[in-house]
Parts: sequence; C-alpha cells; structure tokens
Amino acid sequence: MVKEKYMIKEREINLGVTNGEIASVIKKSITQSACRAYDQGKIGVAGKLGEADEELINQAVENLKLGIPYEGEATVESVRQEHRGQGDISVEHNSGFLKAAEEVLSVLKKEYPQVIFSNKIRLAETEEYLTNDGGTDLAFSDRIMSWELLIKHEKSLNIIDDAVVLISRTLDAERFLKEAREHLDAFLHPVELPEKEELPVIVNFAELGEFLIRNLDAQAFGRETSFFNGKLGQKLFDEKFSLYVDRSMAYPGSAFFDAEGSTCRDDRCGLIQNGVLVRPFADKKTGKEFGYENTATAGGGYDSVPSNTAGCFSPECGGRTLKELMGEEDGIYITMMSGGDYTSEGNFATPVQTAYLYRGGRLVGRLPEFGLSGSIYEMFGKNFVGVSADRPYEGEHKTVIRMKVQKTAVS
Amino acid sequence: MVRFPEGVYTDVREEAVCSTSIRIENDVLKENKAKKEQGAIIRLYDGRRWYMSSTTELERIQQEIDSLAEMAVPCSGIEEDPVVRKYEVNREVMLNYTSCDVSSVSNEEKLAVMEKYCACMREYEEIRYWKVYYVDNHTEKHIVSSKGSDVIFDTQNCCVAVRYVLMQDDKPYYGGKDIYRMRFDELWGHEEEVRKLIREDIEYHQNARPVEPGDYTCVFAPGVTGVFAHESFGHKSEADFMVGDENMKREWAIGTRVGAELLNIVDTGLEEGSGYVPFDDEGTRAKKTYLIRNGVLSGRLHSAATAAALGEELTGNARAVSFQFEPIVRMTATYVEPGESTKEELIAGVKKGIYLSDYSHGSGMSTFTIAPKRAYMIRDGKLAEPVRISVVTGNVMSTLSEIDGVSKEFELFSFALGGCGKMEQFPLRVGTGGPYMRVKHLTVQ
Repeated sequence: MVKEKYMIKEREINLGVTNGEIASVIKKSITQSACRAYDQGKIGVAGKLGEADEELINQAVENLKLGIPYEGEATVESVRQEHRGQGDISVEHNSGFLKAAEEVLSVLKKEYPQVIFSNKIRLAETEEYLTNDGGTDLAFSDRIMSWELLIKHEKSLNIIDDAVVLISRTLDAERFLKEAREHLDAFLHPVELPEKEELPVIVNFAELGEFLIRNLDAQAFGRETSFFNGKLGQKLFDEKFSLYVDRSMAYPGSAFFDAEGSTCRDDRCGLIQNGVLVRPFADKKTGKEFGYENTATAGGGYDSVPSNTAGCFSPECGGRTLKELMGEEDGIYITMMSGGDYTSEGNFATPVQTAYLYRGGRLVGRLPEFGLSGSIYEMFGKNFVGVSADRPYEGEHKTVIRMKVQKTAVS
Repeated sequence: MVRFPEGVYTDVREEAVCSTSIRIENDVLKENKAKKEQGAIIRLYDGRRWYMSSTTELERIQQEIDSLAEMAVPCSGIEEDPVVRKYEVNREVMLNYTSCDVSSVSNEEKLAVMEKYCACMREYEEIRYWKVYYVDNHTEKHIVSSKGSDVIFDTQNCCVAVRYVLMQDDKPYYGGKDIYRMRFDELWGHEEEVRKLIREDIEYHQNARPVEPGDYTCVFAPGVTGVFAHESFGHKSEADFMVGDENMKREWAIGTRVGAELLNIVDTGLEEGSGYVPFDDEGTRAKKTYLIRNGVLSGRLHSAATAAALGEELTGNARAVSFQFEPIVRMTATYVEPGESTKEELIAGVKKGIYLSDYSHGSGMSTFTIAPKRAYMIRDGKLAEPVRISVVTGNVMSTLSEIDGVSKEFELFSFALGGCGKMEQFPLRVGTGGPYMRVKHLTVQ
C-alpha cells in the first residue's frame, strides 16, 4: 500500500473595484488537504479543509473499501521543488500592491473620465505539495498578479462593454497602464468593420480551441466518441499549428506536476505537432486503460479521485511577434466573444460583442458587433496564421486565424 | 459569541456543508466521496470600504474581526450609514431539512438509486460513452451581525445527472438530463423520462441537417425560455452594474416599457429548487421580485449596498458561491410567467420558423445568444425536420418586444452540475424556467 498526501494552499488579497475606487479589501487563506491510499488496483481518498492529520490518512485507507478501481500506480521516487513566484510584493507584504492599485485607478479615472471601471485587482499565491511513502516529494509555488478591470462607457446601456486585463507574476503597473491606455483609446474611437468577407482575427487560443480540446481527450478516443476518431497520426491541420500540454514556467499558476504527480519531459508534451495529430491527452490511469501515453493531465477537486482533465494547453508560439505576423494587413483583435458554439460537424459560429481594429502594430479603433464563423479544419488548417512570439496584450501569446466575418449577423 | 468592534458594521457568515459526489462511467465506479467542510467569511464596513476575510479556522473568527478592524477607520455614526440602515434585522432559525438530511442517507442507497439510471444507459447501443452522477449537498448557514441579526437556516439538494455521447457517422452528440430534488426519496422513478429523452436525441442526431441560416420566428421550449430570461434580462437586473452609472439609471428607470405587454419576468428565492435561498448571504429574507410586469420594468435585484445606492428596497439577492467569497448581487430562480396560449397554438401560428427544443448554453449582453442542442423546423404551423444550429442571436431589447405568444404550460428547472458564473464566482446554483414562448425576428446560424 502506498499512502499519499496532496495539499493546496491558497492565499490571496483581492481588491474590489467599484466606480474606479477600491471598495473592498478581501483576504483569503485556504488550505485544502487530501490523503490517498493505493492498494491492489484500488484507491481510497479522503479530504478536509486545513492540514492533513493521521485521522485523514486512516479515513483514506478506510475508503479503499468503497472499491474504486485505480488502474495506475502511485507516482514513486519523484522529487522536485520549484518556486516560480517573482518580484518584491507578496500577499503578506502587500502595501506596494495596494498603493500601486490606488495609483493606477487614479490615473485611469483622470485620463478616461467617460469610462466606468469595476471588478478586481488580485494578488494570489498558490502552493501545491504531493508527497508519498513511495519516495515522491513534489512542491510547487507561484504568484499571480492579475489586473482585471471591467470597463463600461458612461453612455453605454450594456452592463459591461469590455475588460482590460493583465496577468503576470509581477506587479507590472506601468505595463498595465500602457496596455490599458492603448486599449481604452481604441475603445473610445469607433471605426467601421473592414469590407472583407474574411479577415485575420486575433484571439486567445482558448476562445476557439474548446472543440479541439474536448475531442483530444483520451477517454473520447478510447470510447471512439472523438470527432478525430481514427485519425491519430494523420496530418489534419496546418504545418504551423502545434498544440502542447504545457506545465512550464511560461504559464503562471499551473504546477509542473498534475494531480497524480505526473510530469512531462521539459514540462511539455505535444498533442498536435506540425499539424499532425500525435496523441490525445491522458492522465496516468486513462492512459493505461486505453493504451495512450501519460501527458500529465490529471486534475479534479483536491479531494477527488484524480481524473483526466482539460487544462494547461497552449499552442506553439512561432518566431514572429504579433505585429510581424500581421504585416501590413488589417486584423481584428477580439476581447469579448460569447454565446457561439461548434456543431457536431465542426462548424463554428458566434457573435462578437467587443473587438478592435488592429493596424500597424496597435489597436486603432473599436468595431461594431459582428458575426464570426469558420470550420475546425479550416481554422487550424489553411486559415491558421500563427501564434505570436510576444505577449502584446493581457500577458497572453495571441493566436491569429482567418475567419469569415458577417456584418449583418447581429445588432 | 463574537465581540463586534465599535464604529463599524460587522457580520459573520459561517457555513457547514455536507456533500456527496459519486460518479459511474460505463459501469465503472470513478468517484465516491462524502465530506463535511466548514468555514466562515467575516465582513467589516467602516462607511467607506469593506474589509473581509475568509477562513477555515473557525476558532480564529474573533482574531480575524479584530485584525480587519485595525485596517478600518471607525466611524461614530456608522448606524446611520445608508447601507447599514438598509440591513434587515432577522432573528430566526429555519432548519427545514434536518429531518430529511441527505447526509444521513446511506452510501448503499445512493448507489442503488444511481443503478436505476445506469440501467437506462445500458439499454441503448447508440450510447457509446455514459456517466451517471449522484451529487447531494446539505448546507447550514449561520449569519450574525453587529446590527443584531442572528439567522440560522439550511438548504439541501440531491440529484442524479446522466450524461451520454451518441455517435452517428463519426459525429458525437452530447446528451443528458438532471433529476434535481430536495429530498432523497423523490429521486426514484424517473427512468421513463430519461428513456424518452434518449430516444428523442437518437432520432434527432440521426436525422438533423445543417440549418439554412436566416431570420426566423422561433418558438422556445420552457428550458430555452428560462435561459433566455436568465441571460438576456436577469443579468441586466443585477443592480451592482448600475451603481454610479447615471445613464443606466435614467434608461432603466422603473416604469419604463421594455417589452411586449404579455411579458412578465420574476426572480424569487422562495421556490424549492436550485434557486431556493430563504435568506441571502447578508441575512436578508427571500422575496418575489417582478423584474418585468406586463412589459414594464418593475424591479431589480439588490444587495444592501446596491439598494442603498439606488434608493430601492432589499430583494434578498446578495449571494456567494461559498464562504470563500463575498456576497454579490445574483439571481435565484428567474423565470417568465405563463400566459394564455398553448404550445400547439404558438407553433400553429408560424408559417416557416424554428422550434428550439433544448439548448447547450446561452449568453446575454446587448446581444443574447442561445446555442441549441436540439431544434426543428416549423413548416405551415407544424413541427418538421430536425436541424443543426450553431447559434441563435438577437438584440436583447428589441427581442423583448418581439415576443408575441406565451403558453400556459410552464416548467421550472434546477441544475445538478454547474451553475451561473459572475466575476470569479462560479458555479452558483440558480433556477430558470418559463412557458413555451414565441419570438419573431431572430438570427439563426
């Protein structure tokens, strides 16, 4: 029998913003612990808020009697500690954070009196530990600074119009202000949608990648319910498109190990490489059940039996910045797009609520609402332009895809 | 017994949550956990800012209060602050579910009820992959405030949810049903409802073809009406979006006509189901609030802070997903009230249109969206062939005036898995519902 402890500690200071003022200061300190017992192909799990104790371990052993099969083995003899938090602020020493937040809000309110700012500015620290008596001792910590201000024009009848966001590991107040100014200047300057049927759109991968991810689940392949069933090893997408499970330093907040203690070589594992569907994503036990490679994608609640979970996916960045990717062409930078979906044939359509004209390396104006459509093989095939090497907005690498634009779809 | 500091308003919300989560996938037990979690959030208000702390260390509540008080600036007239004046003072114990507490039901009984629905999944060879969930939750909350409130109440739910994937021509279809009840015994005996849904899904998935995009009159099934009410208008009724926004206050003045005469939209925490909250998370008693009455804007949803800011009454809509979060303005159960027509009459009045039978998800800003799960053409007043649709959209405000028929049949829905998201707080249990409803001029893609 292998006994294991899994613990997540989260500490946070969260500033609630109303009308551009800090209206609330919220502190959080939450510790979640689980104990697991692995024995003869079964797993027992018990969890509690707070630190694990002997009683929790005994409860996990007792829960083996529930008979939950666990096809994998506990991760053994894996030792690594990594602490990725940076900068000179912390949840404990937060006076710099409060002062910076007040200053940024003051500047934004002064420079953009016609805009109403609300929502959150957050500094969060997370720690994850997985240890067991099979010699595994994994520890991870990170710090995330997130500026997440919702914006609304004083004359708008929307409840919100858009958000200015920056996620990073350091305070980055100046960078946030610089990005927010470009964003807000464009927000206040309406422009027409270019008269083209198809345009390059600039998005975060997650906005368009949900269908891909859902159908790359090893469970879906194993049960033959994936849209890509029977297509492993085939070149389905553009040469430039590669998709990874990425637990590297590049992405704030995600531990280098998954909920089963699995890791990837160099913290990355390719699912699609140069357009070829290489493997589905699989946690340890799903991989074993269906004969797929473990891609370190176990997740779930802190006290759950770990299960294959979509998360930590990122497309491969190319060597060009967003400005270089776009060249002389006009593009559409999308910030709010909700409500659309893929059909079971892989056709996608959605209204776009907020978007900007991107020209010559910057946002130049706000576009009216419009509709967007495409199909999965075209979007990540011949219409895939690339992923920016830089993180020009929101702390994100931006994905560029040509899509059909319909002026008349909404409004 | 906590000691409240002088010169500030303070409240403490303690929560004790007993919950169970069991999951069976293709006949294999994947999860079977039962747990009890306790925690608290302490809020302190000095007339300018709120200071809050959430903790799992209940023995440290007094220290947390004192620590927050050090950050605040005491105000001698805090009792006269408009927000503080708004708070109800309720002193009540309302424990409705202790005699049928789901945490006292044995694990064997929970597995036995699941087995009934697992058996349904096995009956259909078209189902390639299935999951049956059992989830329950009994939550007891205790809210005390420096103004004198002392409220203890409980809520409860127990649910079986089935999810399945049908395959046809290598294309997956995702189906499912939630059986959501307040008492365990009510979970038995719904197998035929599940079988009926599966048969309809199989037939739809085998025969549906892509829709011809265009402008259509649509008839919404009650579930679709419910998500429309929630997404298109419910969120706009949450008053925190309006605080400090003079333009919105003018445009959304109570008494403004916003929709067709036959339209009534309600939010209430009083109905049993996933929107049931007898008191909100500030200790305000639940109420029934008409958001739209006969097409006229009649009310909106409030916390104490928003009610004070807008000079309106409390509605019992300050809610948090757990003790880890502060209460913000949220819906409870939001629905369109029934009308006078029948479903058949609504369909009969459409020459060429679309019946939206079920949905995957919806959203609502100035434009609302519905991603249908199942839809059928209406031709010459009759239901016709099934069609696949990516998204149905319309402008929220003009669509409210395009409603020209509301049925007398009515359903209120509760949801076993997931819930409503707002800001960082997800998922919050809410209910939605309504009648069949006919809407003109929607864009279908």
